[in-house]
Amino acid sequence: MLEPLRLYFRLIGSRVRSQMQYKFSFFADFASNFVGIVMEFVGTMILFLHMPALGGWTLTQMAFLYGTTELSLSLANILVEGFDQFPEVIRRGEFDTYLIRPRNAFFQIISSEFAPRRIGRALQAILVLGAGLWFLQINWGIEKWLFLCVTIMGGVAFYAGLFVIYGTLSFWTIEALETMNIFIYGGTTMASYPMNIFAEWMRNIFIFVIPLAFVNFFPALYLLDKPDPFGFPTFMPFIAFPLCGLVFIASLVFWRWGVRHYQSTGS
Amino acid sequence: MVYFALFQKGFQRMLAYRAATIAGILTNFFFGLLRAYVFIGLYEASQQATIAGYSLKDALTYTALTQALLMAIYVWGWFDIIRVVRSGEITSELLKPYHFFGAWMARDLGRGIFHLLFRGAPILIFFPFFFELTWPASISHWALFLLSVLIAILISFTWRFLVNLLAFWFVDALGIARFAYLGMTFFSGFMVPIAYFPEYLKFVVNLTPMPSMVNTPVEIYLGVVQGLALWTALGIQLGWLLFMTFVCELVYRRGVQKVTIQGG
Repeated sequence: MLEPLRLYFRLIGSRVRSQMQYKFSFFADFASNFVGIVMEFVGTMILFLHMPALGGWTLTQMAFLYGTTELSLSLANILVEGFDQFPEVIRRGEFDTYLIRPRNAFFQIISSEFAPRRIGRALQAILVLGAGLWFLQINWGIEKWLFLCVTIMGGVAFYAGLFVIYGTLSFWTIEALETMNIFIYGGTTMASYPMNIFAEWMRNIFIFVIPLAFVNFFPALYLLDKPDPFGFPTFMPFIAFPLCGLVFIASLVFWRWGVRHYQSTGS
Repeated sequence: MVYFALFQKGFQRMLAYRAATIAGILTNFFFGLLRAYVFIGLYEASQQATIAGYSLKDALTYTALTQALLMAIYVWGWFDIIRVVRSGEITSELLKPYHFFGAWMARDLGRGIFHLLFRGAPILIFFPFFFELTWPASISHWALFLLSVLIAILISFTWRFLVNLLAFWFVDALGIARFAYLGMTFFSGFMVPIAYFPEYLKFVVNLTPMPSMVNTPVEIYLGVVQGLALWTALGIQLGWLLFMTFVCELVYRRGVQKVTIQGG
């Protein structure tokens, strides 16, 4: 039972050591990402010079929206980075090797890649989230802090699910994957703004089709005591976590199905 | 002429990536819509008809234009020369009987024109299905805008070339280069119109060539600058282009004596 876990940490450990050989590059990555976030923040601040709030959300409340999605995304990235790189494995025809090794293919993929630079992104997300919470002067009971943790775990499950789906799709298509990026990264950018500023068709995609709004927007309504601008039932924030879990489970089912239908290109 | 051939090659090279072009258009378009709604929210919340001289219609047109120009100007960064130095291909590059700066510029211009036509134009064609945009009233207005875009691509190239020359000195130029590009989206006025900036930031930004890469063509298109101001803006662009070209050549001449060629 513990053996796969030990193997996982050994494999990941070797990845970390190999990446640590490039310390400068790690630092540069971290710092450039940080400066990027600061720049973007300054851009948003300039917009806020000309308005009090966007769609009823203040700058600090938006920092909360940004912090929660970004943290979920970067943690998921760390955990299932292998699936992000998976299309390349398929393209090179290396997946067959995974299949003949005496370990589960899913396990091999998640332990094949690990990107410490994503840790930098996660730290920065925590920083933004922390700053947002600080300036919001929240006065939460234990239940809201727990809810925040659950929300972020849900977000991680949701994004991990998206990455698994992304990787699985590469069994059929490599080129169309770019479009999936619109939903992952475009959706994430969208989720750092209040959903109510967008056109109905656009936000409906991210509520009903790819339910990104459940990663941060609906939970934030409950956490920050904001009224629901769409008049959805009040239980919306509370189905977020189970829904995100479902997305992850669905992605696993899709993956299994994909592996069963995989046809090697052979060569 | 060899430079014209390189220009053509730069253009044709991009033609090979058809699926990537379509996916790219979709992505740029999606982000365009996203940014447009942020501006709509901004004008709603500010309860003003114009902000810093921009009406909502202007702001939406600004969004469409910046999304359309983004690939031609290449705001996300470009590392081709760094890669060539890394792989050692720089040797054959240097042996060829052409002017290093001129050759890369010709190639990049080919790429830029391709992106203008196939990544830019579609955005401007489809954006009006969602939002009403303003259009230049006359042919001469279009011509001045396109001239400004052309200069903008070249200025952007000089900056990217200069950043890439870091590779002549540093092995790990990639990391430093990434920094140099970070400012581009902000300082060029791609992220937020420079007119929105507070005065002191405007002052700082205008000390760099960045506004000439995005902000100037957009303001010419919108008619924010007209008459004398328009010609001044074009003059400043040309000035930056000449200055940057001079700096590039100077740095290149020093750098080429420094470069350590690896591999073989």
